Amino acid sequence: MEVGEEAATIGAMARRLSAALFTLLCGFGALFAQDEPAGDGAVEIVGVDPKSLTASELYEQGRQAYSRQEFPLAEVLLLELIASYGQNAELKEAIDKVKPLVALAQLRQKKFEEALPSIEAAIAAGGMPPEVVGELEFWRGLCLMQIGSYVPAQHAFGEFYQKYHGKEGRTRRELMRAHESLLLFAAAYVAKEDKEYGELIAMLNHVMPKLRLESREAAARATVLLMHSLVESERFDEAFELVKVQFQDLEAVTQLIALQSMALEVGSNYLEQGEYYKAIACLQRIWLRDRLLRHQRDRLADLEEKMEILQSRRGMQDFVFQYDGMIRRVKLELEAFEKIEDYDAALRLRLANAFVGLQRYWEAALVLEDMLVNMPRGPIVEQASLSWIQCWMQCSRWDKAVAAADIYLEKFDNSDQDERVPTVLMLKADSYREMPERARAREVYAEVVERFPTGNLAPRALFMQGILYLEDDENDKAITAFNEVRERFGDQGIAEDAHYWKGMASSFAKDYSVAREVLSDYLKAWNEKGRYRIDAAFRSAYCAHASADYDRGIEELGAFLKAHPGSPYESEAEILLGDGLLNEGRMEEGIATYRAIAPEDARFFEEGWFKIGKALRLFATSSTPTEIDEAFVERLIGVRGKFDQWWEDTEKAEMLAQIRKHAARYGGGLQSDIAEPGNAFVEWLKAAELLAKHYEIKAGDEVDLERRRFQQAAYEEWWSRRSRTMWLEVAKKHFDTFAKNYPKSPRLGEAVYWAGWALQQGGDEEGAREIYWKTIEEEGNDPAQASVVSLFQGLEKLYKSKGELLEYDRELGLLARRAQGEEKTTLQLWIHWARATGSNVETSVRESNFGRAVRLADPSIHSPVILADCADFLLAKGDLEEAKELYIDFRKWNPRAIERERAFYGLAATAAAEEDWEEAEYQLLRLRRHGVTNSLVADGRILLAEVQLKKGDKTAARATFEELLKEKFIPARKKCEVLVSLGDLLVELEERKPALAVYERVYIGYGRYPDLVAQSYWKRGSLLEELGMPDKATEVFKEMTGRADLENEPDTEKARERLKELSPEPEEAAA
Amino acid sequence: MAADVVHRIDEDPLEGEVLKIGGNEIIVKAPTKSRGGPGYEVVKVSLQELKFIDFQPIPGEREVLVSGSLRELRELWDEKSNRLALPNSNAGEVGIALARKHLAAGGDVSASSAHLLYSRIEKEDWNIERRESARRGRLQALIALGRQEEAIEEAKLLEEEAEEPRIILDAKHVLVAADFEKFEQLIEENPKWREDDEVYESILSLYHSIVDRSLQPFLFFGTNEEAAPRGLLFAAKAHYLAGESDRAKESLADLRALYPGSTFVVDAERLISENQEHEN
Repeated sequence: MEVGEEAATIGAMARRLSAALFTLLCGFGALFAQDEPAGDGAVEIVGVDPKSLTASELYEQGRQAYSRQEFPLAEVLLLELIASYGQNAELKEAIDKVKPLVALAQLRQKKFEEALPSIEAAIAAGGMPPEVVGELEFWRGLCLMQIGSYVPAQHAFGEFYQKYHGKEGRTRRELMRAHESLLLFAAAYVAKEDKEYGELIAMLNHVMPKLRLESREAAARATVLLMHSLVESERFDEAFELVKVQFQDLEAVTQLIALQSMALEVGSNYLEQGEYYKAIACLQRIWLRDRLLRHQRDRLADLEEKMEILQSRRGMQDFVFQYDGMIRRVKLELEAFEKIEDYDAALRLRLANAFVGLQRYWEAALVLEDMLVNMPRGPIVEQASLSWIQCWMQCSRWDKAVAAADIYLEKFDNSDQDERVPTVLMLKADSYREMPERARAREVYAEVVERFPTGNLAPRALFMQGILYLEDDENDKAITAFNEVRERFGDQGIAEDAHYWKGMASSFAKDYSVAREVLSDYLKAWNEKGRYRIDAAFRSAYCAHASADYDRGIEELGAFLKAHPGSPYESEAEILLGDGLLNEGRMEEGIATYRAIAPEDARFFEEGWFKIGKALRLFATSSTPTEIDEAFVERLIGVRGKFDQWWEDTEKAEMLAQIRKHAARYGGGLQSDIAEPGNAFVEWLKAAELLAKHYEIKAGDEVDLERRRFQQAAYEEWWSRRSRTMWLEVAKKHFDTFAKNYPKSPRLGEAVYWAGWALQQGGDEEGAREIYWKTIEEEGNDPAQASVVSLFQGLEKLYKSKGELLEYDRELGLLARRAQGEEKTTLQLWIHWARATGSNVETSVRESNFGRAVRLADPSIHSPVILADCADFLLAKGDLEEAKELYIDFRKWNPRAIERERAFYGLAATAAAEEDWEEAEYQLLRLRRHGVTNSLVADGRILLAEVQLKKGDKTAARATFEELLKEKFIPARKKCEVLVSLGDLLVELEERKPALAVYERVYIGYGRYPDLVAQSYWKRGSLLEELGMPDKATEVFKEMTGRADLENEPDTEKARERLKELSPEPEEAAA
Repeated sequence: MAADVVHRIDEDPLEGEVLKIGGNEIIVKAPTKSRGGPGYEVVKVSLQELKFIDFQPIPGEREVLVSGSLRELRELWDEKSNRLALPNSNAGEVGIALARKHLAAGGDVSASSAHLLYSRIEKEDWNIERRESARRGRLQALIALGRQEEAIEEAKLLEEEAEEPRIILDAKHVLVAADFEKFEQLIEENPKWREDDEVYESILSLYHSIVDRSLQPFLFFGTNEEAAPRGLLFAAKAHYLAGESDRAKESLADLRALYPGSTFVVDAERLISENQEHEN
């Protein structure tokens, strides 16, 4: 958001406002208003000819006219008296008395220029009461000011101040007039040309402390004058300090609006200078228009109320005079301020801009929100709305951004010609996308395209619809959208994006050949300038690989890596290339490619490492070379061919010397790093050495065939014995290296497991045990290293016989004691868990170890698998409260762990045990939402049906059962149990015939579960009897008792007994 | 002679000493001129006739109001409290000063005394501004007494009814503080809430709401040296709790830059150092 243009506009507005208010502040208006003449100087004098009147008549009629406030007439008559009889010594006293009236009558008519000599004459005449002299002296300054004689006015006010401020026994009125003269002195200073604010500032600063003591109100007015001077002379820091001081005593300020407007100007300046904190400090002090108006109106009412009180008291005339002035000043300021528009918007926008300057987008958004929600529409408000939405987006408050956009659209969206509407719609759509509410986002993008089809945002809006389809895996629709972008806006930059993403969409749709075609087309069309050239090149190679065209994939991925080293796709490309090479049997190259992945790219690096490990494991477990990889064997045979040739061409002694040389050179064990070129040959040489030994034994026979036979035999022997061992050793070392170099990797346990596996496969079970024990002991106290837990399973498998298992358990016990001694809590927990969950563990051992594990378990750090096992143990044991606590705790610390489903089931079971059916149902619904393990989900549904039955909601229970039976994921045994339960429920619901069918389904469809089949036979037979169909019941029982698989079931025995009663044997019947 | 001046409707002011205030009238001992020299008469003025009274200040009253001890203020209040409802009386000012002193003293007994005083002033004072001030004070007393639920209810009412910004800010703060406690509890119960689909939206929404509301005084009543920095501090606390330490530091930086003299700066420093330890 830019502070610039709009701020400048507002700045100009603020300055105009400030200037207007300053005029009032200087006091001209207020002072004249205070003593405003009743007449306007245009009163027509009808029927009076002053020259025809005598001195006495002039005197009397002039005074009476003044009393009646007929000032023009009074002036004319009294001036005539002075002009005609001024030289008459007898009339001097009377004439001197009317001189002040002349001056006052002129002042009342705002005839300032004419009033000046009259004032001088009145003062010179003398004989007036001191308060009248004082008034005239004061008005002398005002008249001078009014006619633009600012310097003489200053002199007049200066003299007045000197005379009355320091006067002994001065009245309150004189003090107030002295303060006024001081303020007017300053105002005249401001008004004159060629002023030097420095002097005025110095003067005001000098008098301010005294003024504050004498009159808070006058001091406040002086403060505003001082602030104006400081602003004009760009001494903003001093002005700011003044703002801070005066804002602590706003009650004293009658021209509050003027003061606040000045503060706005100071704040605006700081904003423009990038001094945001100062700008905020200034701007946040300024009130909104309504508050200012309300305050000033209240102030006015308060002043008027006090005025009324003062007027009812005796001897309060000075206060009355003071309050009268204050009332008039407040009124005039209010009138001026009420005409100003957009004041609030200007203020708020500036404050928001200051927050934006500090990158406090949250704060800026809140300020703008207040502005836009509460303020009427106007150009500033409209302009600020965009910033508002953007600020919320900066804070990732997407819902707020959408709401802000809606408010804008509601307020301002009246026309398809509005330039801002498409932008607002785009921001709204972008926010919906982030929420993520893609369907809504798509709708809004579509609105942009529909309403503003030729606008500059339409291409992006259409393109974004395609992207949203991609995000929803609707690749065909995405392709359609991208095609439309290219068709409609082919000449715009967005066409390139659409081109590339169309290729991507085909790739996501697994339509690899089309994707390659589109991407190739893209690369041709955009050449080196293409923004996506690297991405497209990678994706094209990826598609070749993904479509199992490994040759092409290898070629393109290789070329990509060569052309774009350091690209973001490098590691992924190396993985794919490695996979391709391995697929093509180019094992060494493949492995070398994996090895090239940079460790910094941890995920791909580890993946590459384990892929190498997998290849090595495959080598080791293949019984013949051909089973590993024919191409690889071919390569070895090729090497052997060279060896044969060499054998042919070389003297035996020399040959043996060469072999020894090579053996010495490459000896010292296996070359683990088989990715190094030639390592296979080295191994071959080792094999050849073996061959040579065999050959030596038969050295006396000089028969080629024999040599070849031995050669072959030696090779096979090497392969069958040496190769397996070699690869296992290589694999072990490979995984060892990983464990050693990356002990913090989450795949540590996996690496150690495979290292142990390699040892075990090589017959070194003791070595495997050792490596597992060592890792468990060394790394097993780190709760973050949960992968180590998996080693317990591998370890237990290495103890096969009963005796060995006892040994394993004993070792676990010893390790647990050591862990306890070393206060390794996590290790202790794992060991107890391992002992409790081991196979063939006695119940007492299981329980005691689980008990210890529960005490050691810390849900905030330990593996959810272990915690879930512990909680299940507690549930099974009946410790419901403890179980519940552990379930709740481990879920809250692992809200996304798969084991959360166990927590939900466990909590449901706990609640059911406590007969809290509502809670149980709630937990089972959570399980339904988040469960992933089929058998547990099925258990949950069954429990849900039981809970529903307990709640008496048989219909819901029936629906749950029926729904369950439709699910494909339910294990067969569970389905069978559900059928039996459903049959029972139908019986309860007195739907007996459907129940018959359900029982029948069990013994027809689920013969694998004789216990349930027998139950179903028995229940169906019994039900048939209840329904009065003994013959059919007999048939069912006979069928049941005739089945050999049900022979030992308790229900079968019951059926046999029942049959005897239903169809007794002939002798029994006879008896 | 300095005296109380009783201003009556439609009658001249009556100078004298207000002897008694009770029932529906006040009794004034007023000087009267008789043949035997200056004397006194007792005048009853019904409250219906009364406009207001200019009470003669009690000697030393201003000093006690500015810097008096608890005992001195209590004595002054005892003397003036029966004038609370009379127009132009400053009894409420004395009562509020005393209540503040009680609150500052801390402890349940003091808070309870403050609560009683504020309640009475809120109900009886003739001056509407003081009644509002007393209402705000009563809210603070409720908080000090730990009567959180009542404070919240009161704050809700104030938020709806009050017009004076300070009282609204205090009321809103009580509501924010209550939500903050809820937020703290939720975070404690759901330490991994950002990964937890079941609670993520509701906790996030509460977090946003707390910060939005905490920032209001700072943004719109920035000159309120109590509410504005307090709000920033709360915003920072909420940010820290939500794991947004950068935002928290920004709020605290704003607090320190804009309210360097505030008592909340000390809290801000403490919050930073606590969280630094946590981060380390």
